Amino acid sequence: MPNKFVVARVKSGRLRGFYLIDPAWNNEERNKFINILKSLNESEDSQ
Amino acid sequence: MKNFKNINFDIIDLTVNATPDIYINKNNITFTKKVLEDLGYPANVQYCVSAENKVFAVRACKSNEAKSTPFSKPKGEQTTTLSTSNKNFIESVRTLMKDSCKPKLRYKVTGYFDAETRTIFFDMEEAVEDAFRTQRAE
Repeated sequence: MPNKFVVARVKSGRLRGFYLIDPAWNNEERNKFINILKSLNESEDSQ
Repeated sequence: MKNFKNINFDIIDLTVNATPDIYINKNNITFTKKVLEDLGYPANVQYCVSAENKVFAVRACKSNEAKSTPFSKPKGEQTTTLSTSNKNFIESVRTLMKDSCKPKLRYKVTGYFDAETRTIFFDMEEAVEDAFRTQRAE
C-alpha cells in the first residue's frame, strides 16, 4: 500500500489528517468547506 | 445435442477478483460491490478527505460516531452496487481531482483497503476517464 494511505490508528473515531464531510451541510456550509479545500489545494500545488 | 445434465457448472463470484472502485459521475458517486465487500457491508460510514494528499476515504464506523452516514444494507440484502447523490460528498471529491478532469465526464478510481482502520482510500490523482460514459458525454 502506498505510504500516503498509511494512517494512525483510529482512536478518536476519526482518521487523523482527514476532514469529515457532513452530508447535512447546507449550500453555504458546503461552499465554505469547498473553498477551504481549494485554498489548501492551491497552497500544496504552489510548494 | 450435448448432455447438459453431465456438465458441472461452477459458480463464479465476480466480486472476488474485482478491485474496490468508485465511479464519479456528474450527479453521483457509485461504489462497486468490492468496496462493500471489503468494508464488510457497514450500515454506517464516514466520508473523509485529505486535501494535502488529495485522498478521499470511506471508513466503516458506528452510528454514534461523528458525521456517521447510513451506507449499506446487510450482505444478503445489498444485492446491487451503491450510489450517493449527496452534493456535499460529490463536490468535495471533485475538488480533489486534477484541474484537467471535466465536470460532465465519468471517472473511475481504484481504492486501497486498510483492514486495520476498516477504510478504503482513493487517490483522486489516479482518477481515469471512464470510456463508456465518455462516448455518451460527447
